[in-house]
This record gives sequence, structure tokens and C-alpha cells, in this order.
Amino acid sequence: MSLISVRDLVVRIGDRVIASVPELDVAAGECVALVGESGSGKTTTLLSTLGLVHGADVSGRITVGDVDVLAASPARLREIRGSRAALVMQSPQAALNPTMRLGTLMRRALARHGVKGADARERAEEGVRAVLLDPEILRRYPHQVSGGQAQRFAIALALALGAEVLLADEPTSALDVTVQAEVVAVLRRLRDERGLAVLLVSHDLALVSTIADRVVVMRDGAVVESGPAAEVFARPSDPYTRELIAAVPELPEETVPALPDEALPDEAEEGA
Amino acid sequence: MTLLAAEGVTLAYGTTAVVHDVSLAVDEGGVGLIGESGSGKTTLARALLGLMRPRSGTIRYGTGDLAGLGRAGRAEFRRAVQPVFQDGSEALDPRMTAGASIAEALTTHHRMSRAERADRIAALLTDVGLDPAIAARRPHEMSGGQRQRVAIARALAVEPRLLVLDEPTSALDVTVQARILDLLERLAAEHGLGYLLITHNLGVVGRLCRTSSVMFAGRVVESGPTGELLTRPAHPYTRALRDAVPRMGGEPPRAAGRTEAAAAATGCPFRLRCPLAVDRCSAEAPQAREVEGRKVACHRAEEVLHTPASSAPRVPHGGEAPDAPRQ
Repeated sequence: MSLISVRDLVVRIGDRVIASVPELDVAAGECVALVGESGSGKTTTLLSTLGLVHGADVSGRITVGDVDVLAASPARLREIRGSRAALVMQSPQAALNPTMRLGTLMRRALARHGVKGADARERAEEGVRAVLLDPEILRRYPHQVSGGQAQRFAIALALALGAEVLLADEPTSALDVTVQAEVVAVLRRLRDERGLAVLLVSHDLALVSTIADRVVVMRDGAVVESGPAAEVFARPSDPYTRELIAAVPELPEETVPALPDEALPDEAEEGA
Repeated sequence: MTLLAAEGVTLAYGTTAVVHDVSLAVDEGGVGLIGESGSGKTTLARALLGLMRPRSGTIRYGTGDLAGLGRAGRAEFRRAVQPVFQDGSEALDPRMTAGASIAEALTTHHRMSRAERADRIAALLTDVGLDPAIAARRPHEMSGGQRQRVAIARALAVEPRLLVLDEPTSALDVTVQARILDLLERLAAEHGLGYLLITHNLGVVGRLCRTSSVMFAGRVVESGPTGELLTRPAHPYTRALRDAVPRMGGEPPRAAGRTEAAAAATGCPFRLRCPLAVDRCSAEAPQAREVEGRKVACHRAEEVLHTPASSAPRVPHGGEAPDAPRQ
């Protein structure tokens, strides 16, 4: 069953269509990626699913779980944003109150959803462990954690609140490659082990190819191609998709030479 | 020929040293400098641009010490070595048109008539693949890629010998990135420019740089021909960086694990993150040494080199990540 379902979405500012998506579904345990460049409408599409596009006309039908997003009351929308769907942005540290320890932040968020005391502590620690962080991190302030830790904490916060849907907008673009890899590992794990529905926005096709089950390629507000990730990447049908793929810098394959017969490595090194 | 070099350079902010005894030479080919945030690569770039004095060691420009240059020598150095930063808007005054920004650079170093100047600006913009009409626009009226091209045109205006490129494409869309890299490659060849390319993206150095150095915690841990470093890493950190790069349709990138572990203060600085660390690594800091065509600072470089990638010990991720919770 789809946890996110979008039909005939059209987002307009005045006469200009900034995003038009006929069909988009994300099921539990699935990662769908919206790819494209700045101005393609991918972030607008993602924000639309939580009713977060302001100052624009949004039409069509969007459901998250059983909630009709475009028809829902503000209170109902806040409820899905808080507990069912979580938004993870590019710079998580900017989203974390700098004056509060991460644990306090987590506890307040949980309290707002009626989870308190020992129950809250347990949920907090469990959320943090699910993103492979040590619960010790709950004692720290946002400036005392790295970008990758902050990003994982943002995900943990969503998990503690019971999110089933994760909306991630360029969650790794501001991070070092090594840290990117950790965040991707966490996302894969949550999708596979917890059955989270992940809607990922990224311009990094190589990264997307390692996690997405399906991709939707957008350009100038329109969907130019969509389908199973492996298929789209192996046989892109749209010239723009081909251009995006060709732009990914290639890394040569790793090669390992056989050991030379006469010189074992230990002997090549003097005084080792 | 070496144009610019750091020789045994140590750099500090206040009492905190962030670059330790680093040597690096930039010649007429491209040189890559790779590392994570906090590795000291941008600080080293500042020193190479003459913006920061080494605590010890020398920045060598041509045959002389940068610190020993007179007024005229420094002016010549500032012309010859031009920086290009991550975001073109940093280099461009938001109130000035592209043409005015380039004109400012032109007239700092050359005297020319108004007509000559207009011609030169048009030629520079054409050279970086822009329509000369863009000269009338201000930075906010341009795309990120256009701004970066204008910033490059401005750097080229003074006919430099060397560019110091600090993550020049990181803020750009992938297709724009690819075009800027094409441009840099062409310009370097046509103008005979040397360049130092600082990035955390191994794919980018693979394309543009003949040699590369990998920095970790303020030290160069491996340096040599870029192709060798990428296809046969000899330092576990180089391998971790490589493994973390997502590849089209490839295996999921491998988390290097414990990226938040601090650099060790004694012994090998990488040991707290290293899957190969042994007692010797805590006891003795590895010195850089020649191993099969590259310089590497690792006691176990030979094993890294000759262990097939598929069976190499790596920091596991997923449930077994070493930073996984205790209890």
C-alpha cells in the first residue's frame, strides 16, 4: 500500500507551472527518488506532499497515509508532519535549537505528542540507536556534533515520533563523502528493516542509484522520465536523463596487482 | 616545473596547529588535494595564496621564498596565483556587473583604453563559454554556473600562471559541474596554466589531476599519481574515501565508520578510524615513505596495496558499525 500517493499534482505561481507530477507513489519499505537540477520542481513536489508549499496554487490529490493533504485542516496537517512523516533537510544543524541539548529537544518533541517520562527516554534512545548513534549524544548541544551526526539525529527524532514516511531533501549534499555514505547506510537500513517509505530529492545520480528503488526525473517542473531505478539508469529513454547520467564523474575501478614473486611486501620495506 | 610549493609547512590558528609539516608541489599539470572538512586543505590553500604565514616551513614561489618577496614581487605573485572559490558569488561584488568586476581585475594590473578593455572583457567571457552580453548583468541575475564562469573569467583577466581552485564545482548541479570541469580542463591546456584543485570528490580529481595528495587531520597521508591513488590506494584512509564514493549502479557506498572519531594525538592520527590498526600504530607515528610509486604514511601500506578490494578489511556499517551503541 502506498504511504504517499500523488495524482495530477500541479503547482502554479500565477500562470507559471513550477511543478507538474501526474503520478507518484511511495510504498512502505520503498525509496523513490526525485532527481533533477535546481529549478526542476523536485523540492516543490516533495514539500507539496506535506502541504508546505505556500504562496502557490496547488491542485490535484495528495494522500499521506489516510490523510488527504490538500483537504486536511491545519491541525491535522501538523499532526502528520509531526508524527507520521518527517522532513529531513540539507542542513540539519540549522533546524536544531542551538540552546538545547539534543536530549531536551527530543524530550520536548515527544512531550508534544504525549510521550513522557521513562517511555520518552526509551523512545529517544531507541531512535538514536536506529541511526547508529551512541545515546551519549543526547547529552550534547547541536554545535558539539558533526554535520553527519546532526543529520542522523534529525532522522532519529522523526523515528522516535513514530514516522512511517521520511521525506529527505538533499540530505547528504552538504556532507563529506565518507559521512554521506553513513547517512545512506542509515536510510537503506530504515527502509529495509523498519519498512519506512522514503521520498528522496537529490541531484546526485550516483548516490540515488545506490538507494532508490524507483526514480522520477524532473526538468523545468515536468516529469521527463520515471520507472524502476535500475532500468532508468541502464536504459535512459530521455536525452535529459542521459545527460544527467553522463555528468556523473567516473571513478576508475580498483585494481589489485598480484604479488610479485620475488618481493614479498614485508621484505620490500626495510626495518619494518 | 614547480610553480608553487609548500615545504614542510606547519600552519596554526592561534596556538592550534591545523596543518602539520606538509609538503606539496604544484606544477604545470593539475594537482589534486583531497580530504574531508577539517582536514586542513583549505587552510593549506590560504597559505599557498599568501593569505596566511606558516608557523614553520616555507611557501616557495618559483625559486624564492614567498615570505622574502618585496613589494613588487608580492604584487606579481598576487597576479600570477589566482583563487577560484566554491561559489562564484563570493568572488563577485553583488553591486557590480560582471563586466565591471572583470574590468576591475584588468585595470589593477594593466593600463588600457576603454575600447581595449571592452574588447578584452568580451574575449574573456567568450573564452569561458558565456555570451559577452552577460557583462551587463549583476551576480543575482545569473545562474550559479554563470557566476562561476564569470569568477573564472575574472581570475583569467590578469593572465595568471596558476589557479587555486577550492571546491569549484561543489555548489553546482551535476551537469553544470561537468561543464565547468570541461572548461577548466580546456583553459588549463590552452593557457598553459597550473592548478591546485581542492575537493572531497575523488571523481573530480581523477579527471583533472595528474598527481594528488590526500590529507587527513592536517597531514598528507598519501600522495602520488592520481590514477594510482584511485585504482590502488595504499593508505586505508584513501581506500575509505574511495569506498564512500557512490557509483552509478554500483554497490552502495561503504560507510567509512566512526567518521566522528577524533584524530589520534599520538601514533598514527588515523588509527581510531582504521580497520587495520595494530599496536604499532598507537606506539609509533608512521613517517611518509616511498612505496611502489607513491609516498604513503602507513605502517601497513604494502598490505593495503596487495589485498584485493573485495577481501580487504573495512570498517563495517549497518548493525555492526563500531560507533553503534554500547550495552
